[in-house]
Amino acid sequence: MSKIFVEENGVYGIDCTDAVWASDQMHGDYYEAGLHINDVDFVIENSTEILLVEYKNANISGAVNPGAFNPMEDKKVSVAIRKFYDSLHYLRLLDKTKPVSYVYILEFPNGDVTMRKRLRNRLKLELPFALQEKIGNGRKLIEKLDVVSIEEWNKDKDYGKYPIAPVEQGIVK
Amino acid sequence: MAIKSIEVMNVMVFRRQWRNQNDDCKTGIKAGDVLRDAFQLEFCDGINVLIGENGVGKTTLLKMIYAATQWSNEQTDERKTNRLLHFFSDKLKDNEALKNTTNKEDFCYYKISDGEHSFEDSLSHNGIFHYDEWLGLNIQSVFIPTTEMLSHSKGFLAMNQKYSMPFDGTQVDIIVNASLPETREIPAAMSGILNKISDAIDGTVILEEDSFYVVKKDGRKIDFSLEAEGLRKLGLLWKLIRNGLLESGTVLLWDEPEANLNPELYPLVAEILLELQKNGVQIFAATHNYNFAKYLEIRRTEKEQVMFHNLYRGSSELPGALQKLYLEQEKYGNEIYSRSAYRMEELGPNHIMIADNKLLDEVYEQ
Repeated sequence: MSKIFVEENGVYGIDCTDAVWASDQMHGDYYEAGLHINDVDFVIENSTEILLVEYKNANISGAVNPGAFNPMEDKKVSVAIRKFYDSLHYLRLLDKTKPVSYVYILEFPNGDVTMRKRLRNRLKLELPFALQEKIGNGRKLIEKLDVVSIEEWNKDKDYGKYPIAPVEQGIVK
Repeated sequence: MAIKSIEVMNVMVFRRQWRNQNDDCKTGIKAGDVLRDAFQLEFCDGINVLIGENGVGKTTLLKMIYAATQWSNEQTDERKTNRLLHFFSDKLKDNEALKNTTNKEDFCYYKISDGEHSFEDSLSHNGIFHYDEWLGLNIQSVFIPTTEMLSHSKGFLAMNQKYSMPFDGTQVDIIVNASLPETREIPAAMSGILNKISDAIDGTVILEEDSFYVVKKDGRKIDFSLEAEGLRKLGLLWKLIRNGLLESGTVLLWDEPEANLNPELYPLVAEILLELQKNGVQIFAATHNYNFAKYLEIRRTEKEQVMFHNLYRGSSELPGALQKLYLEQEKYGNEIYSRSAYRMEELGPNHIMIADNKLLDEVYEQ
């Protein structure tokens, strides 16, 4: 059965049909439970890992003041970080214990691969990479972090199994 | 008037090679593709940013455009054919060193066009083609070389008249241009740009008895050689604008604007270039710096203001059917190709981004 999630703007969809399990319900579940914490847009489980996927597209027509969106801004960075940490509770409750990677799919005006890598490196400093090296028994809270464009996501041999395409074009497997 | 295109065949690094819209032929040939055996770039009327590794011909292209625009001026002296050669290097006796061919009889030329007229310096025929249509266009151009020259101005031009100096024509010309008298009036738009530069260098630039000085706002007169090299570069730009050399219809060619400049000054220089462009100056800049190029990309107000041209070295082959038609092109060397786009990310393999990305990946992996 196909499993296609449409992002909040209703412009792009992500096809998670090939996932072991996937959800876009984290926000709704938190909200219904009265929890005002942060959450990622999609969770995708494959045979070996869990992908926490945050999606932001400031390049779509109709985006409110796209030129003003700066993903490097402290507040935006802070929210992106909190989304990772707060989403871990969800995985714990669902007893999802596979290694977790965080992928931030990001499109913004004048963005490019170098800027995305700069953001990735900045996010890394506040995600628990260093912490998990120092304490514990080797178990990791995060395996990997990526900040990618839609094109990079689709071209990646692992992420590309869950292709992103404009809804109006239909999602072609 | 704007420079619209350049075509180069077998001159310096630009050897004859089949190119598909100037790109390599690796993706194959499809209907509508334009296949040419000369290197050919098409420019925008605004700011053209040339990027690429060392040795892919960025400076050469700038010098070719400079040579062509200088040739268009009727007042240029009668030794101008020799002067063209001198723009490339002060050490050349004749144009043989510029040629890069397999067979001696192959064509070697570079050709610049404004869309209506063209200038072709044919090294194989040892002469200028179409010069009657190009001469008299009087395209005013300025070439800013990587080397800072104004600190060496004392007695330089007199010495250069008499002796053979180890400087190429672009290096001599920049001193000549900076030494010209200032204009009586400054257009309002240029006034704003001059003020911005003046704030950055904390003063203005004057020429006294063959030497340049920065007169600081508190009245101190600082010898140009004592200024930081980055500020000297801004001072030079101030002087060129003040001398009326960068006005509407002129062409600015700037080799590595970022050289010796503190990165904090990149946005200012990018802003100045964008303002000059808005006021009708066509600009060609060669850069190795991602941040500088990115400032031009993000601070432009119209996409068409800035176009990026990525020069890269590669090898590719014509599809089989075409190879049979062009047997002489069976062997494919390591040649120069290019891609052009309004966004840097659309250019691959983009070496100035690749270099930054490698560092960022290394930081991430630690």
